[in-house]
Amino acid sequence: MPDELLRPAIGAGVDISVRPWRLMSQTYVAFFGGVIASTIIASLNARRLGVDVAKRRLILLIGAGGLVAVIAAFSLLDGDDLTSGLRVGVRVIAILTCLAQLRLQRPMDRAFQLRGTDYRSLWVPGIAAAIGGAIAEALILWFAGRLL
Amino acid sequence: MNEPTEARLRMAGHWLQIGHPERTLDELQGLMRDAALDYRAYLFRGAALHALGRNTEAIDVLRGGLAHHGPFLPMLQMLGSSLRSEGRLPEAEAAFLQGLSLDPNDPDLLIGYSRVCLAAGQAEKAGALVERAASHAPESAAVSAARAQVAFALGNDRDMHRHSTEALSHDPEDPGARALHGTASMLTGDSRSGYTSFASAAASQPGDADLRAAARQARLINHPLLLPLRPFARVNPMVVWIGAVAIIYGLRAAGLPLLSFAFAMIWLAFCVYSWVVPPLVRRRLNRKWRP
Repeated sequence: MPDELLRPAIGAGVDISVRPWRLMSQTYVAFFGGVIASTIIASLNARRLGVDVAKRRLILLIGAGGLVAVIAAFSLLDGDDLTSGLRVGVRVIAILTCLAQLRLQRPMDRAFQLRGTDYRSLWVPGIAAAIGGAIAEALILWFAGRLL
Repeated sequence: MNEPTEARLRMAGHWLQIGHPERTLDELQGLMRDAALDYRAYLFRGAALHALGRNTEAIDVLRGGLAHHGPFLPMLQMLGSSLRSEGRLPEAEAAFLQGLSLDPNDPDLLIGYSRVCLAAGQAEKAGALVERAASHAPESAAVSAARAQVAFALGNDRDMHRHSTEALSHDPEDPGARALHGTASMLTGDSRSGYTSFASAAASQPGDADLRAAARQARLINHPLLLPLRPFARVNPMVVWIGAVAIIYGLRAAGLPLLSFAFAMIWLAFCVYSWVVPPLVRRRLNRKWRP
């Protein structure tokens, strides 16, 4: 009988020369940059870690869900609540989105840690994604405000 | 084979066993032409190069040995480990599977293959391989250590702690088991034994910068001034932030604006403390750091 356990199962999917970013650092990008920034960094990192395509799509889907939630929060809050309430609400949604995206990356991140290589620095791409993501989100909310 | 050559090979194996791979290489350097082709010369040289992190050279030596002597389990095991360390996972898998086709129940090969699967993110398969190894070598430190690694990969930090404690009970001095135990202790919130384990692992492997950094970090978290921050050490700081926001807004929504304000001020003080104190303590500890 062929032994299932001793059958080759490792494809060329994991590229070890590419170093990912720390999961913890991604939450700061989400905090300052919002849902779009978090999704950009999470999906790039998932690719670096070698996360499979289905989970990478789920990361994008969660990001889209987060963006819808941000727009919904924006349309629900008005008047005095808008500035402070929206600012906090958007950050909470971004962090919750990010935590869900981190969960999908975690198994491959642990595999990376077992390989014993160093992480890549998130400073430059993180700041770039945070600024770009925040501007994109502000534009989307501005358009949504004009439509609503 | 003549006496001095035999003694030299035995000496090379001995240096390897007690953790001096560079002396193994020195010893093998002096072998005469024929003796250098002995299977042990290939194996010891490959193992020493792997231990020194010179994996590309190790792979060449071991492939040469296999070409010369045919498939030989310890040599395939070492080749697989060197390929894994180099990140050439499909080739590492092929080496271990070649060995396992000769003996499907060899515990060392099964554990070696499980580490390749872990590196490729296949923790479930790695777990099944380790359990097969355990059925052939139930009371071994290698099995406990491998189980701890599988638990880490699966995110079961408590199981990792249990298995790494088991691995330590087999061999309390083993730096690998100590490092695993240190990681598991930190992940489960026991920074005191985390520090003990990392410090002893770092002391026995002074060249390992990662272990030194881990020991230093554990020592920082153990400092009495960091006691208020310790409950949050394992939690993502942003989750703590969401909790604080929920309490502040919750109290305000419940019609308790004063209480909400008081909590917000305490929270602010806590944040300032968590930004200012750790860097100061770190600087102080680094100045007089001894592992």
